[in-house]
Amino acid sequence: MTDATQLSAAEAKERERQLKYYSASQWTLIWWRFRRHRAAMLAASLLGLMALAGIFAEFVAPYGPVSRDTKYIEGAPQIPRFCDAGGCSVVPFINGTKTERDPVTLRALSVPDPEVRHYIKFFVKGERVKLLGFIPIDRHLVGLSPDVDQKIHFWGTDDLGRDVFSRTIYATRTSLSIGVIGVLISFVLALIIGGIAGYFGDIIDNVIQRVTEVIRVVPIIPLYMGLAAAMPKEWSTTQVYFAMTLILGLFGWPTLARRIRSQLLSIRNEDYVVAARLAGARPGRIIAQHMLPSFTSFIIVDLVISFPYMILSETALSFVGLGLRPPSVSWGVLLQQAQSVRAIEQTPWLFIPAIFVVVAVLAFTVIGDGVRDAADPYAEAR
Amino acid sequence: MTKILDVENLSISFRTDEGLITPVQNASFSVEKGKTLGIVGESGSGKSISTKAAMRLLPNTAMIGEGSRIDYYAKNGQKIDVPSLRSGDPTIGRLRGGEIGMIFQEPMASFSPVYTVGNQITEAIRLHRKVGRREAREIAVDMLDRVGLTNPSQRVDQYPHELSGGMRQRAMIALALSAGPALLIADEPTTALDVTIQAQVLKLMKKLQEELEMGMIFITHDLGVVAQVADDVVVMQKGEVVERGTVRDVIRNPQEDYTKRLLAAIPRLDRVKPPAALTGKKHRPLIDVKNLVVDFDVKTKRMFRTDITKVRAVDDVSFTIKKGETVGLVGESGSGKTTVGRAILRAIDPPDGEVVFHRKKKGDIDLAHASAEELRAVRSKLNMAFHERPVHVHSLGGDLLRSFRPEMSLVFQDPYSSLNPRMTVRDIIAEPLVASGLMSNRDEVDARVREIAERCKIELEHLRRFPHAFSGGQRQRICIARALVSKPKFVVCDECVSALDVSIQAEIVDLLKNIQEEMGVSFLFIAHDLAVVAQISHSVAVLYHGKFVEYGPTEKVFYSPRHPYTQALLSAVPHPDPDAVFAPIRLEGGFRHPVATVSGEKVTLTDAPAGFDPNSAPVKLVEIEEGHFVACHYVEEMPLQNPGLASEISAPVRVTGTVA
Amino acid sequence: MGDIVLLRFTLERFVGMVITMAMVTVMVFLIMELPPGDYADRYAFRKYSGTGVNVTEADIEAIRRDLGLDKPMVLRYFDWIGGIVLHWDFGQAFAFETSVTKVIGDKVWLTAGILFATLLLTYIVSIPIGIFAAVRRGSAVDYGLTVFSYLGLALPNFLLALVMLYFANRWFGADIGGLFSAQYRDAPWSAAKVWDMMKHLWLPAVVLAWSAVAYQIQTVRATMSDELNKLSVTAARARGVPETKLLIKYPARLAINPVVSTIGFDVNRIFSELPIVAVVLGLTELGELLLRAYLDLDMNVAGAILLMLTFAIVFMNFFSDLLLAWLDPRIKLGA
Repeated sequence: MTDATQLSAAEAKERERQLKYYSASQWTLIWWRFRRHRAAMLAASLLGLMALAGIFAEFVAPYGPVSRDTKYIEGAPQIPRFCDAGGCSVVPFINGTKTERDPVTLRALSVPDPEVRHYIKFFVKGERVKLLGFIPIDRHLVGLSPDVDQKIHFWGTDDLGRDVFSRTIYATRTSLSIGVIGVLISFVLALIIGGIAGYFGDIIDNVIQRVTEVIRVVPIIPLYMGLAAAMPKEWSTTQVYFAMTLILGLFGWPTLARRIRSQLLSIRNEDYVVAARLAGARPGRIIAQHMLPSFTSFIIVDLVISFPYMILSETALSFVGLGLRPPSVSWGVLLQQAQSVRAIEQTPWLFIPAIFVVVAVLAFTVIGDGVRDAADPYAEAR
Repeated sequence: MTKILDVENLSISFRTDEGLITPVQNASFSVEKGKTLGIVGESGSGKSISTKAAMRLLPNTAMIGEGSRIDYYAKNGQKIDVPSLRSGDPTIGRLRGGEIGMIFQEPMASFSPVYTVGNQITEAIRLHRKVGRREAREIAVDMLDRVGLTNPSQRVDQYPHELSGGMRQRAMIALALSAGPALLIADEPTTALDVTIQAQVLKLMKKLQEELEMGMIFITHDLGVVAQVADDVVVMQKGEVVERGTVRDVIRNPQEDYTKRLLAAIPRLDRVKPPAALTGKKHRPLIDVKNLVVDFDVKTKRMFRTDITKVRAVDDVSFTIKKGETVGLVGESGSGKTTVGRAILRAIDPPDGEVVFHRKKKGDIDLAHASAEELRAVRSKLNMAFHERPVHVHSLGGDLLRSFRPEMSLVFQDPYSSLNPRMTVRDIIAEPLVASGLMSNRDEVDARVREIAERCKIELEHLRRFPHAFSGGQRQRICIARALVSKPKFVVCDECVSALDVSIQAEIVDLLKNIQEEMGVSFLFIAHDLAVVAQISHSVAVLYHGKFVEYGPTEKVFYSPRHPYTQALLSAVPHPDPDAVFAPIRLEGGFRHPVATVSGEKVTLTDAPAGFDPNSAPVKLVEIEEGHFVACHYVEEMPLQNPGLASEISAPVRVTGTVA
Repeated sequence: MGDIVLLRFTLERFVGMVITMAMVTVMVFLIMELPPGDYADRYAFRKYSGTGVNVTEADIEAIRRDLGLDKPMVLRYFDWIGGIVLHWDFGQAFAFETSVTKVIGDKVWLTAGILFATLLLTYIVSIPIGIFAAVRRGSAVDYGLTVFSYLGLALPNFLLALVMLYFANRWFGADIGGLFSAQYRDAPWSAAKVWDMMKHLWLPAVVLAWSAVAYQIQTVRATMSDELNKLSVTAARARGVPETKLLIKYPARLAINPVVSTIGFDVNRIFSELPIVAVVLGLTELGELLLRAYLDLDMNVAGAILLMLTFAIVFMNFFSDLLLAWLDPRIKLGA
């Protein structure tokens, strides 16, 4: 009796599941498939966290990107701990620091002082900043109590005593936003140029193909460098920032335009597009109702996978001094300080921004793969 | 009786993401020396997987079930227990090619494109026979000669893409037989070929099998083919053998329901009674196609220039489709049948010639050459204009053509690619109404969609679903509903049942017939399967290289064909009857049109006498009896040079008729 | 017939290459013209700043006239391109106070050496690994390689260069950066110097090949997987071709095609990374010179190098087209 009802309950559930599947739209199917791709889901959450931290950098970062802590120069990361020689505590803390001289070089060194404990606090009062550039706040996510005459540097400090953690958070905002704006600019250009090529065809298509070819054969970083080198030295950091996004965007389109064009061409020959034409649909309707929906998911894939190029290009240009300039902070600018083998040996924490670069690029690549696998939910339905 | 292959209780499972699937369960069959076993089944019946197991060609994810037995008796008398062979055992290498040869469905894909045909054949020879390079090549040339390839010593150095489809399959047969196997497995070897070429390949395989005393397994979905080549037959359904026996027993006296249903579903050209031709005044013409010509540009690259030559895909085709009539259009691949359909629908750019769509009242307006004022008047009252006058479809353009679209529609061959997967079934069916602006009120559209869906036997509940919820047959119903929703007068069905299994084919054909009765639509039914065409068409046209060779009432064209090409085409169809005579006429190097002589009221068709210059008399469609046209060298009132000669020639054409 | 098609194909590609090259010169010239100010300004500034010489606008104008910089842009373009084509003269490099040709000198050959070492390494590593990964699809090795190639694409090359340099220094001694040991740096070419260069070449080659390898493994793996599922492979198996021979003769033979067709793309990628890797590894070749020229706004040098690199890429594209036509009989016959 119970078995029978259970069975029919299971059957009903299975039936419902099928019904849901049968009436699932493209985006639902894509989402279901994407959700199954665990690595991509993980990558997406990581990237989401990064983006959030970047957007609310003023709140997340304990200090400003250029605030200096002259008492803790080239200081090592301070890892919060629960125990030390003096016993354990529930609230994490860091030890205080004291200054000693290196017995050999006589350089001033900051060393931990196990006698002193500073407890870590959340939502502490600190520097006055403007969240998102206009909401004034003076509380930060974590930090030390303002009464303590010491700052906390989770990831250490650089040669000017600036907090690497805070700088990295601010840099995340810059680097990701350059990626986003750069991709958007090249996407719009690619759509316009690819569209013109596809619409007018023949000679114009040929000419555009040639120009695209020319831009594609020039090695991209040297090309970017040439354009970046032309930026006047006296430009402000904001001007440089926008010029950089423009440069990345203006020359990122050829690959994208090519893919858009070939996608359009392959969709144009699908039977169902011919069917729409024979149904009496106007070109506008054919494009909007029949071609675009098939096309968007592929475009999203292309957009996602073009992020890494933007981010890596920005990082590389800033790294060699042709991109953003201090006092701007971006991942590339931060890594400029870590150009030598000496840095690996003495201040390895300056490489922490590199982990962000790698994670962001990896995340975009993995998400791209996930979306690509999910983008055509009908491929295996046959 | 010596068994070569003995399969018992074979079960094969695959590990997949969705768990274990078992495409073959407890299948048993065996092949004897010099005999042919046919394995028949619809798609997904597990027919080809079970033979692949005998050659150890299954992928790594496959598992052969407990208690499965595959015994192969080698040429040297050794018994090989196939499933027990470890991978890497040299016996497997001997088994593949040396003992068992295999031929596949796609002759192009089964050759590697980057090596010559000879390279791939000599590879097989040298793997299994101890011969040198030169000797292997000689054997390869000899084999190509035996399978009937002309110029074998040149062919041997050609790449696969330089051969035609039929030649490739012959070369594949040469390859499979070159190492002298005792058993040949042919997996749908003729499915991708045209019917006349299929007939030749079947004859060839039969002949070679007898000469070499091989056993053969012939896997196919086509019972007609099985009836012609097999001695024994095994019918498979969903991985299980449902019936087995000699061909005669199984076809004449099927025991199982499934076999009975399968046999009942197959249209038989030798038994079909085609619908009677629509004659008389009450059947008005709906569409007049006059002198339709379609050219395609073909670019040939030369050293410093590119020549553009026009290839005539459709050459001067004229015919009439009456209201409520189905005209069948048959022909082999490349004959231009799809192009004719698309040209009438104006799916391709304006062709030469005329396509006139008749309406109730007489009267004529040539929309292409109308003055701007007339045109504006017509445009404002578009529907009215279309309702009252014959429409010159060939000259419509832009908005006029678009607003005329609802009057005609197309059902595609592939129900998978022709439905936009991103739209619901309701939206797909409604598209012709909405897109052409025929209806805009949502309730009205819904009502019409429901009406048509019911007519096409689509459950109303399914309208909310997306195409991925449906099987091929159901999808084709949706396509038909979409084609009919605007209540067109004319629908082109372009190979619309050829992608479907026979049982579903029959359902769709019935559906089309019912719809024609209820709605009075006219169909242009394009297909390569002559039996299906015979089932549904009132009249039929045979197309060869873009030209009609014969056109007329189905019963005349199919049951007393006059043109040698039509006769050859019909003779090549294998009937699902082991006792039927299978004597395909082979048209060596094409065919010659008959010569028509008119004297008084009489038309006489004869084969061309010796010394007749075909160029002196152009080819014309001659009406030899009412509504029955044959392409002939038309010689009006021409007394034959040597009247005695005509009777001496043993030509397929020697018919007399009366001028209508 | 087939020969004519091949000849025409070659000619077509050759003309295409020349057109692309011509367009590239225009683009490079525009980039050279882009920075504010011109050669005369920068030359005067560089030469006389800090010397106490008072340079007037008229002096700069005189330099400008001497060098023909007062002409309209179109004429200057033709002067520039004419100098290159007719006399192999790329103009003056003000930062070095000599001609660009002299500055570039044998750096072209060093760059070519690095390029070919990198390409060789890329293909030797990626083709067999990609094939292996496809054959062992879904195995632990395959997943490991996938992770590796993800990392290869994500790791910024300068970071990789730094890490490699760090470990190379620890394991092989301090003198591993650069292209030559100290004693050979300015020595004339000799067998010993070439040998010394070989000993240094592996590090930049590994760093530059890294991402190319990652990319090509993916390509080879994907094509190989497709090819493995082809009916022709099953057909070859069904005639008893032994597994290893089968893999090499059928799918692997075709899996190389996409690699061949992307040679130009790989060269592009390598040249793109070169300037940055060169900075970290202290290589004295064109990439490093290009970066220095950009920083100094020595646009004649920068333009010359950009032109050379791009021409090399365009030529490699042409070369790969021909190689592909030779490898694939279907292209040769214009099918």
